[in-house]
Amino acid sequence: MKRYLVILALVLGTLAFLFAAGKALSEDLTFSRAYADYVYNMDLYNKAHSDYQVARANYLQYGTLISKQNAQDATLKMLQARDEVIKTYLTALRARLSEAAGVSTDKKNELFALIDTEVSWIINHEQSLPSAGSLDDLVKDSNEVKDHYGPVELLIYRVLTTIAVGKTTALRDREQNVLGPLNTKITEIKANGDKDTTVAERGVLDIQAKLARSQAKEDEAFGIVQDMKATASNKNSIYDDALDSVGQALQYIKESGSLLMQIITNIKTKD
Amino acid sequence: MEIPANIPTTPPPASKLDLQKIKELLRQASEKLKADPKMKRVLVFAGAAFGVIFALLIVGTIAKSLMGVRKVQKVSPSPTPTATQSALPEILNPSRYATDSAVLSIEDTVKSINQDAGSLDIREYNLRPPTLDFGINFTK
Repeated sequence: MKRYLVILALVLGTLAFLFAAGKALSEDLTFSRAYADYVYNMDLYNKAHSDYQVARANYLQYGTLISKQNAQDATLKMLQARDEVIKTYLTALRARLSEAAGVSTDKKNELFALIDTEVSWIINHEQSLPSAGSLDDLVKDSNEVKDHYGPVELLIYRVLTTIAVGKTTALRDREQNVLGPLNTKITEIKANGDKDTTVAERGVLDIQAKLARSQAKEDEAFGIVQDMKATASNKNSIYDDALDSVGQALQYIKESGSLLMQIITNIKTKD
Repeated sequence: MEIPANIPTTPPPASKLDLQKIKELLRQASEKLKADPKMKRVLVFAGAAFGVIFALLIVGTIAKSLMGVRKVQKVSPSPTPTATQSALPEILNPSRYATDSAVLSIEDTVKSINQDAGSLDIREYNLRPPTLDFGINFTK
């Protein structure tokens, strides 16, 4: 009887394990999940940072051995939480890029490789933190990340711009795909000779010009981010300038969309 | 109505035999089971396990249906839809291409693109880099 029970338990256990493993494998790290992880770690960092500030103030005021030890402990926890925030943020950014439309696979892979390198660096840094034996060592460890974070920010803004530009690129591609069948229809109408196609033909040329301008604005956005310096203190506002260019690219796409509708109305209306 | 003479009134003897065979086999199996207490316990255990799984399935189904009913009952207030005016005027004198399938298909695609362009958000504020304190020092 015992033997049967053991066999039954083993079979059920194996089935449960296979089911759980299959489910875990089928679940990719989606952006929403990665983002929730980042937000959670940001909360932990804020708490650790607040504790660090209190411990630091106590140490600077009293300078006792206990306050020094407390400051060291709090600093270590805060630095670990800070590294964790950077790591989870980069992971969320990677997941968002993975889901981004209008970005080529090659471009994605190139950026994935750069993000992965930074994630590995921060993991190694986080693992090395507990070996710090003094406050001075912890300050040095903190400065390592400070010096490294400038180039990381450049990468972050590059990825964010790529995601934003991908959105307009996807829309522009859809409009360009419409131009083929539209041109075919205009040529057919012209051949039939029962309708003047001058307005429609001119409209198509205007659309092509607007789409070209849209692409130029996207290139401009990339150029702005490309020129960003790692030491720049106003990276966020530079990124906003890049987004303004993407916004202008979107405006051209909207205008060409409106022109497309005008052409269709013209085709559907008797002369 | 008369029954034709060639239709048999009694069942064929073969089916009777089959039934007897099955009965005999069942009787033998039950006797074997009674004689082997180990086998009997295994069967009782398997029966109980199936019973429990079946009961869990029923409970799960009922719970799921109840939850579904609750979800349906939750009605969130939504604003009264307002009539929107089309950007382009209605075509009063249509050409022969007004009902052309290719033209209508292009129109649908363009409408979809314009709708997506109108609702596109290029600024993902939630993904701005985190604000972190890098000025760690212990000097007054």
